[in-house]
Amino acid sequence: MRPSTAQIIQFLLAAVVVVALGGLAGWYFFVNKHIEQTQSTDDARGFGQSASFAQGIGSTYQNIVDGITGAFGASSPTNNTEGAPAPRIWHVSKNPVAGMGFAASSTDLYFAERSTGNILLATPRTSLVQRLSNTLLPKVYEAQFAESGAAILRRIADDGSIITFAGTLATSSAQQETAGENAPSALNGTYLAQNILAIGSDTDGKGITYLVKNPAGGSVAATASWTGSSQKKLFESPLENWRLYVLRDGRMYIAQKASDDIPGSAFKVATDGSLSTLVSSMPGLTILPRASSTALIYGQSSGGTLALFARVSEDAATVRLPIRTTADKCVWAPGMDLIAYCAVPQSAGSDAFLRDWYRGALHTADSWWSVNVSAGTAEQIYVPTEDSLDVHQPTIDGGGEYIAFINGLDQSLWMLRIAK
Amino acid sequence: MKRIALLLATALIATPFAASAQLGFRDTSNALSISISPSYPAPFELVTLKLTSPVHDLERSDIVWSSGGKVIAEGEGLVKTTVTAGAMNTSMTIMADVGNGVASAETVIAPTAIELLWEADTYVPPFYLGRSLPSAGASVRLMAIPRFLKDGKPVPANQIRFTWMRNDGILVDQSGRGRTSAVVAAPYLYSADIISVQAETVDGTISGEARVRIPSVEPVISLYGDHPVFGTMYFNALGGSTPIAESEMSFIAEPYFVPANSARSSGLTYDWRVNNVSVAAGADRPNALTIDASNSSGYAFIELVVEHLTNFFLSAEGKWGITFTKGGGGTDMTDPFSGR
Repeated sequence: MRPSTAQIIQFLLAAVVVVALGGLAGWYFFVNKHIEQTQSTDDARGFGQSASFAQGIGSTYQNIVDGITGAFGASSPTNNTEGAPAPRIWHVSKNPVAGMGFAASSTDLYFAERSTGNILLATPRTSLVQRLSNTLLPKVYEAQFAESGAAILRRIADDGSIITFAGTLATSSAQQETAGENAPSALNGTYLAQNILAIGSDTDGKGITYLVKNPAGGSVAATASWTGSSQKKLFESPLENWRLYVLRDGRMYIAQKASDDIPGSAFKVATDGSLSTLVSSMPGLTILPRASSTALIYGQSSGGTLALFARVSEDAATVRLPIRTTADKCVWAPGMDLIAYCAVPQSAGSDAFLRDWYRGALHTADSWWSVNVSAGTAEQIYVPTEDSLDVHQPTIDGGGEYIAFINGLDQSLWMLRIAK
Repeated sequence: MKRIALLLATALIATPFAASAQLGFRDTSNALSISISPSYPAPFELVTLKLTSPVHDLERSDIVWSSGGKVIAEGEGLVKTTVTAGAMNTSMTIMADVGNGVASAETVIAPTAIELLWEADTYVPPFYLGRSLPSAGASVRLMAIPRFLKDGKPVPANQIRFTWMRNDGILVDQSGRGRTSAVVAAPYLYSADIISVQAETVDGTISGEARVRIPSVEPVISLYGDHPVFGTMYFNALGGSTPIAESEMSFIAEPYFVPANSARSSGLTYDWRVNNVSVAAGADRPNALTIDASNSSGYAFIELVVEHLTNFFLSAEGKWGITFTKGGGGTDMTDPFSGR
């Protein structure tokens, strides 16, 4: 019996329905499989997780920390329990930092990451490190801070010129409002003139003093507001190799950059730009002027030997201190007594100490000494037991409790509590 | 006419006698001079005074040295004595009396100070805290700061004449009134120059001198890791043998003290060799080198010679041994550059 046309049509329709259902089932399983794959890929990439912005430690920070463990050791930024007071010697950041400065009337320390230019705040009372800014300024080579937290960040442009950014932390932002008051904020600021050779700021972060390369040769020193406006020329010099010292009390000094056995001179800069001699023609001269007094510590590098000298006032006789180091490794204690703290290398290690130390070819292992400049005596106060510390850029808080410094070996940040 | 001839004849005859009279009977009381050393004493510097005379027999004479009426030193044949100069811009009159008034001389010691500062125009990396030192073919910038006071006020530079000298030869084109700075060629390789400046007020009342010894140095090449996140790691110049926990790394060579304004100056040439194989320097960054040792033994012996296209005295070289300790090709001991 031959099937009727109607039966054939019904059979064909049933076959189409079966094929369609099979196709849909296949498509479902095919798509579902890809969804699982996509989800697993997304999970691996971190999609769907809460963004790290507005957290204390951001993703950039974590990525960098994770990425450099091989080069700079463990990834943890601190070596102690957060919340507890920091140990006497505190490894604040194992990652390279660009510079630091204490907050006003506090032992809290602002510092800038070298990799991101982010500003962080370290609190030794609680061992906490908090990220304050999330504005990315990569590869910051030098950072300075006013006591207000205003920061000067210095970088190198592709053409080799020096870029200087002066910024302040935004007081509030929409991001902070949604993420909480401890969320990082933007670092707002302005780019100052190119090729600033040396710069210093006042304590409240409102004014700067700087030396900039003069296109006609030499350099020009000037003061300006934090944004670079209201410029006032101090002096012109046919030389460029100057270091600038701006003290808390507003006084300014300049010194020729030092080199072993090469005479150097240092000058006090008056507000009218005139220079009066502070130290004249001293081989390998490094200086450390003191705020609120005319006391001075200065170092000499001559004949392969380091020597340190001090005078309690401008007119006083110079005394030779019983430690061998450079003034770059010293910091004056605040207060009435003429006390300084100096990191002293266990051995100089080179006949051209300054030249090799400045170019990173020489690293020292230092111990800390307390120097009574009035008495001309020195006493050892701290000897590192585990880590080798090559002290650079020491700075002290206003109360004289902590010294912060960068370890020249890896540019990591350390704090030493002076009292045992 | 006869009168003129008579006058001329008289003058001619009389001249030898007049000259003879001047020589034979002149006043010898002032035939003394005092020299001081150093010629331009600094404040509180020890000054040596020496009395000389072409006429008097000083060795056998009683000599009295005094200042302001006070005797400093005295004795027979005492032709030398010393005195400490006073403070800056003060003056001290020293008198020497010979033979109890037979002759006398005096000099004034007025210490002044001139700061003489210098640096070279050679290249150092940004943020380097040391001085730029001169190498052969470079220039040296000098700056003089005279501390001259007149009537208690500083004498402005445009009222002072500066004479710059190199090894006691006057640099005429650098000298002159108000010329407080100078630019001179750096000393030749392995040598040193004495650069001095004499300063004198235009009225000649105050003068001083300062001098410096400027040695020439050889440029030094330092090699640094160039990290993608941290940038050039200027804090850690690589030594002769350095292990690096990476399998790939970029490096930056910084030629300290070369006569150039940049490490990438077109005048500088970089001749890189890695494991004895020449590596072409990059056009944009000739002082940079990247090594990928992931399929190699992980050891790279880097050699670099930096020269100058026109300054044939400049040739600096450096050698560094780098061991990459994180390479994936530990079993493949091939040289990473052997296939080039």
